[in-house]
Amino acid sequence: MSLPEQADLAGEVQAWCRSQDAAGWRDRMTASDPAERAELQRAWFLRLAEQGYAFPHWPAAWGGGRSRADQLTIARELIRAGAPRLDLHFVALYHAAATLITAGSDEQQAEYLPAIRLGQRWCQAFSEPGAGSDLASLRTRAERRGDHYVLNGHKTWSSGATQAQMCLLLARTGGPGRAGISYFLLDLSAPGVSVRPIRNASGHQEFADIFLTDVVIPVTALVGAENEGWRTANATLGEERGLTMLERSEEMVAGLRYLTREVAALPPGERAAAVETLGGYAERVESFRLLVARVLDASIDGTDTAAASILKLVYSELLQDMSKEGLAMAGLAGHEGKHGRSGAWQTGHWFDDYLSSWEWTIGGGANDVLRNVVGERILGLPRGGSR
Amino acid sequence: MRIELPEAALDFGRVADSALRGAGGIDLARDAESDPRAAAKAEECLASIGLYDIDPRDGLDDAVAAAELCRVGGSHAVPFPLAGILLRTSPGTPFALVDAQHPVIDHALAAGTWTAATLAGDLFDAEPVTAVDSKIAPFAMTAKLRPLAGTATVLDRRLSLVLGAYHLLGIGQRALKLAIGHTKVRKQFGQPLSDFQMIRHSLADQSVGLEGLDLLCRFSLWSTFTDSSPSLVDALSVRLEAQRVVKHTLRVAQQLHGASGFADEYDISILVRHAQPGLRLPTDRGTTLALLRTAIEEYGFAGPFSLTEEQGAG
Repeated sequence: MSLPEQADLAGEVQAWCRSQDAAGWRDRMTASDPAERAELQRAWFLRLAEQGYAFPHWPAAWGGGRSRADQLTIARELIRAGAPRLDLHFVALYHAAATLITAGSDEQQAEYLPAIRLGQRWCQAFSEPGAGSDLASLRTRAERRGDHYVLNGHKTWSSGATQAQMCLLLARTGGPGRAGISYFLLDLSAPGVSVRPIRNASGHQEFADIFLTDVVIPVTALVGAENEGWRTANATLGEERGLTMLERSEEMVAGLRYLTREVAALPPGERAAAVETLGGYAERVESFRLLVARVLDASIDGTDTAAASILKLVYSELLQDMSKEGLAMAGLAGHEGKHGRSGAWQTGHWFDDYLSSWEWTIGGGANDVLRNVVGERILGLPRGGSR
Repeated sequence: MRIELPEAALDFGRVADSALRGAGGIDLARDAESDPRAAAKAEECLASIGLYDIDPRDGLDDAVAAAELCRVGGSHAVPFPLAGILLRTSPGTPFALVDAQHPVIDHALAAGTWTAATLAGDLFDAEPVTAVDSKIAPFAMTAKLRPLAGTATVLDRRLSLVLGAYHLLGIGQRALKLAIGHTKVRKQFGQPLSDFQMIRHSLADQSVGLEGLDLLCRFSLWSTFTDSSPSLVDALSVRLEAQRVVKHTLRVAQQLHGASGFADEYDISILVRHAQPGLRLPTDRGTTLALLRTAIEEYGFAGPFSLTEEQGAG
């Protein structure tokens, strides 16, 4: 049950969403091409920001400062109202912001946090063709020359890079392994940076290659100390994972509602088994929500990245199972575009949802690697021969 | 039961494989999404090795050749309705099984008119109407059905299901091959992925699944011509198994490719996308299972645990 103040806030967000026609924005974005969609999303983001709903998780000094309960209520009501997701601002609002707030210099914070509030978009350039799960083997080099660094290398699987202005970058400044990696903020318009979209299995262009050829960046683009980038990346990744999962867990509830609709639409004879399935998912979603709350509570005194790894494991596999179930229940109607009675959970199309859900067991740490993290850091098993 | 493939059929499969490889292999599917000439090139290649000389209804020998062709076609995700053309009802009129409520045909543009049938045997003229508007099924179209007199033969319905299973088998075999190739080359943590035991186990499991499916495909094709009952049980069983095994193999193969598995520059990404219509048309797994249950209740089945007359029929 919601406390009275949460009910007030929920009512406030609901009224605001109605006045803004939140679902209408989402429909327009679904129907537009990538460039138009990016512009629409930015405009929607600015409205949310003005209302205080875009970054309630930021510290009060930077315009956030809402309680955990408020954050949940805002996320839940936006999702319920069918408001569009801010996927293109996601890295900026969570990962970049967490990096700047926990590890950035005063100057970096003053330059970029206000820019993010005005709609600056960020992407992340960590993975390389030869360094995915084994990120610590990355080879992109940052060579110090006087008051600047020169970058050379090839980054890949960078989501949203074609629509971003800034980038979080890991590059090698020292010897091999984790101890030789530094963390940088890279302006994607710098000479020598080239971004090439990658067409993916679901037919979209969500991620991109980033090529760096003699890119000159000032030393002030370094976050924290040289060769300390691995630690910074880990700390901020964990923080980001916990907070974003809060929003995702509310999205799961929305997914469950779409699934319920599919069950209701089944012929009476098929409904009994489907209701049982639905019950199973209701349990899993609820336990995921509780898990998120527990991990976030445990992280108040310092982020626990190992526990956060569990969240992504649970989320990605639950998402895949629910999308698969939705597609199965929608039957052949789930294949027909955006016009049938197919659910509009993630993309407006069960089929797209289903295939896109598969990426979630890869991105942000492959589940296979996360299982190692759980085994070693939570269960205390000896480290395998994996690194 | 006959489950060994004749040498001639295996030879034909090798010829088809090499011809499709020469025509571009999976690149044909990659290109076909933006260029209709790729589909024409696929047809030309298949015609040159004798596609139009095969009549799978003619008997087991031709049917085996047709099955090999569908398997090999699947392994290249060939952008052409191979089974539909093999089962054409007249020159230029391919055959497809459909769900009458949601008639969708993959590669529908290969003909202006199709002969369509439901699994129950209702017959229709089918005319492609609009693309299904999904990036994941680039060639699938909804169809307008006009009822025809008569009933589709049991043979046609069985063959359509079994050739569809062969198509999926080819897709699964290719996915496994791609996963093995990738994990042998891709190094992380200082060693090839295939050196990790968990990955070897996972690949071994997929290979066992596909071997089983291969044998079941052969059995169902044989029984298509030897079982005189009107039952679709064997054909539905092989479809169900193909849907189960191939869906899982694709999933594992893509996961083992890491993010590359989602990039169209890698063949696995194309294969996964183009496999989706075959996994779901004309029946998704739930529907296949429901139909199989009904068919077993009606006719029983002659497996090792078959229902006798006294026990059977509900």
